[in-house]
Amino acid sequence: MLKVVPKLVYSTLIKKGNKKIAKFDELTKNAPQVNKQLMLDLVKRNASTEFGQQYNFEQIDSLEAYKAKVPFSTYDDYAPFIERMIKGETGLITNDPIVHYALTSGSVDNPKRIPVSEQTVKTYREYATHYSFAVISQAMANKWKKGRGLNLMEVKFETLPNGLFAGSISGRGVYSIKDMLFLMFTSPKEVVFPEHIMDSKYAHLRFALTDRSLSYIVSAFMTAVSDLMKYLELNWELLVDDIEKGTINPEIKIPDDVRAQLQVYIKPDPKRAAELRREFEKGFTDPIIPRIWPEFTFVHAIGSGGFSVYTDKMRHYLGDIPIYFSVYAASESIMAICHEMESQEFVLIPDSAFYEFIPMDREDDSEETLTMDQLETGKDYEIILTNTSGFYRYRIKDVVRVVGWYQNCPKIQFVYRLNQMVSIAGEKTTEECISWAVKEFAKEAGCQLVDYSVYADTMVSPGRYIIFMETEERLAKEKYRDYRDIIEKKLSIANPSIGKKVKSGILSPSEITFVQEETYALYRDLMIHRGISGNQLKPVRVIDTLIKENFFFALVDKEQ
Amino acid sequence: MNIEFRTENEKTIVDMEGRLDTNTSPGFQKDLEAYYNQEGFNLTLDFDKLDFVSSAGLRVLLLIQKKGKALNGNMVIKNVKPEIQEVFNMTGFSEILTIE
Repeated sequence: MLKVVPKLVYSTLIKKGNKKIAKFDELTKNAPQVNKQLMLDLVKRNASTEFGQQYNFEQIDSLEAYKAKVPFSTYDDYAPFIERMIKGETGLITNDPIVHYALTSGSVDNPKRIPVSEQTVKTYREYATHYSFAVISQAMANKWKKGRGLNLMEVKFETLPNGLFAGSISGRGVYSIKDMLFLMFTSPKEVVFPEHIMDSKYAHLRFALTDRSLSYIVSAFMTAVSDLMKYLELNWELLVDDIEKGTINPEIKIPDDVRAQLQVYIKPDPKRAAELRREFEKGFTDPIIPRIWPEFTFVHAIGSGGFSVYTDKMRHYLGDIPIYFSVYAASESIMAICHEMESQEFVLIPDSAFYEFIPMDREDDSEETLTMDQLETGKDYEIILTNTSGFYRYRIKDVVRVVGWYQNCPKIQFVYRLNQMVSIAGEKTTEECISWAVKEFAKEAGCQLVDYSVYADTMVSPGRYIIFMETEERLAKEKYRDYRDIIEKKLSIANPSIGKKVKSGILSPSEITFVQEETYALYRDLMIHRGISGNQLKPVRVIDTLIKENFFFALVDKEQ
Repeated sequence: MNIEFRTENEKTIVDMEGRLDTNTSPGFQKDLEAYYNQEGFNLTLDFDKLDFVSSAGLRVLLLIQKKGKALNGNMVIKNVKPEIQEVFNMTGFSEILTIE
């Protein structure tokens, strides 16, 4: 493909993005007012809906009235409406046209179907695509040659009785730019819109590796990027052989009709194969990405917080190539966006949803909420959403920390999910604490982390923490006591309440347990086998269900 | 791990002995590739002398199971020792695999 084609596509996107940045800069000057007005507009627009009538939306003309008339909600409050919407009813929770249902990754047995309006899709597109590419373009300037990228967000939808698609929200984002997709990305449509199970890592890499001018990788989560690079490290010989000969190895799992179609796009490329082989044969100790893709400029993926272990792994492949940490978003709404490369701080988007906040240090049970202008830097808050798809005062159960301000708009970081917080005796240990303790453990023990989780063991009395860990290399069995002491010490620093409670006998000392090699990869394989989209797979940070409990306990490395 | 292939009533029987773990599963996968890449394959894995299956081994079994779906193939596992059966039960594999 002529290099000029993707350049033209990116230029168009960046032009739109630059306008969005200018508009965002205006909006954030008056963020609290813009945000409040959004809520009043939503209430007015949806007064005639069944939900609006139930809560007297027509009488709401102020924030105080909104808080007084509309209670907090959870998914269960909307589930009966959503069931009816899926059968074709409209005007139940929103008058805006619903164009998609986002399947959430949260539950394997009963995934939620979150309605997504055209307005929400538009906001996603404008920020996650236009705005973000403009930010990257401004930061990277001429370094970004604007070649094609490798997109790991696959589009796998099921069709509902009302004719709409259900699938991941990131997949819907990709679908919304489907006409431009193949000008922007290396993977052909058979790979991005897979109809059957196939070895998608091979398929993505088979095409990306042939493009010497690959500019970037984009993915919903860093997990998928890191997994892809691991696959490359293990399978480069097979891939390079295929590039040399213009083949797709018969052992690769791809349905015959798709294989035949992909084969049409492929030609032998011995020159590129020789170049790749030369670099791979030097090993992966030095960052491989800049050596095989000299124009590679950035990775675009959610990679902060609980994903940071994967981001750390990616640094090894990337060297000093920067990461754009994308957005803070959920199926319900895109809530905040990075406004610079490498920053892990996200500016709240004031025209995407209406936000209320409950301070986490509040001692009483009051449900009084704050608005964004009332927040304090350094404090943690539960975020409550009113979105543009029919959810009102919705408890998304995320806790965010205010880390600064962009004009008059808070900059936040995701800290933990309320239902992922572990508390055996009131010590409230967050994902953030566990992540810090485990990383510090790895430093002190001199090992490389693959992944980790925490389990609140209440089968012993008093209860205790068990940290499950997979490491790149097996640790010395005879040092187990030392490792247990290290993790205990680190956990007590991360959350001093643990240390105090262990000392006073309210908690038993923490344990550390190593799982067998490839256990976390197996868990991801299993989830995908059960129908969870790869786009949505999040790390298992808390072992909080019987299914997870059985799985990880069964695969403990008993020889370690 | 030792594996031996034999054919019985058009079924390929794989007698497995030892441990299916990180060290042995890549070789096991390679040895079986020619079989599970065929349309309508019919494989029986005999675990009678197999003592241990690790996460890496389970990944290979899952891969063959997925292949079975794509290629109308069939994999049956028989003579599973109780300790391996327990791992299958706890990881959810007993719902995925056909175990006799």
